[in-house]
Amino acid sequence: MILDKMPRTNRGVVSTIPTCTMGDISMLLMIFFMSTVIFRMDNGLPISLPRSEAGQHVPRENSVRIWIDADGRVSIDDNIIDISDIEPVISRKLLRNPALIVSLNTDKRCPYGIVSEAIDYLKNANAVRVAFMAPRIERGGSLDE
Amino acid sequence: MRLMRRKRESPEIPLVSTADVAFLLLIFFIATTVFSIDEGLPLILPARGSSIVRVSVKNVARVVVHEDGTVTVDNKAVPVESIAGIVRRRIAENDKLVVSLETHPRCRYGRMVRVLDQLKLASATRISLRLYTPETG
Repeated sequence: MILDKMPRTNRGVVSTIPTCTMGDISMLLMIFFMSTVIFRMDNGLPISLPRSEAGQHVPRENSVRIWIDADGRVSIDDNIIDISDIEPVISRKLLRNPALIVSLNTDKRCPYGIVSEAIDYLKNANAVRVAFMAPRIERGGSLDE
Repeated sequence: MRLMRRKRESPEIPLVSTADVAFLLLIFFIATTVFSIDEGLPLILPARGSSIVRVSVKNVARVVVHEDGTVTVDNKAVPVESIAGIVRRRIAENDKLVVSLETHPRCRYGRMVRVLDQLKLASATRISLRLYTPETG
């Protein structure tokens, strides 16, 4: 046949990656993340943390947060407790996870005496790894106390 | 007279640009998202029942935060910002230096953190937290 004798050329065929579904994919991803995202809410006490320059990252995985507000009220796991209850609560948590880090979220206006008392209870509970939460200041920010 | 019946066009919402808008939003949120991380000043407390270690006076830098927020280093009043420099110099002179941070019980916690922050900036690793009472001074 004549057609068989003709040389075959690829002329006219442009190889392209189909991108028309990109939009659909991004839309799908967006809807997926929008519907599955869970905002982490901190239900502790309303406090104003002090700021720092040498603040280090404290991993959340092994940490338990203790909240102490300006009036000295103490909260752990959304429960307002008496300061002396820090010892039994933390002791119980330490039994479950010996690598526990206690992060103290204390209001900067709180008198240090209360914090010192909390530290004493932590020592009694044998919670040796403690972090005084103080977010690092942004460049040019001020360290208000 | 015969009137021409007009063909009715079905109404449509243009959806061609939806994908572009979605992509734009996606890029915007990817670029502006800031993951919240916890930052703080970690400290290792002495374990329960650990024996009291006696340290020679010459190896101790005594930093006291008074009730009114003034800070003294070895009974000398200093501005807070200068503590890091002072302690860094003291550690360079004596690597066994223990910093004893004593805070008055009525002093604001924010002030104590500010001083602790300075000690961390000076890379002080041996820090002892104490409650300051005029009797101890």
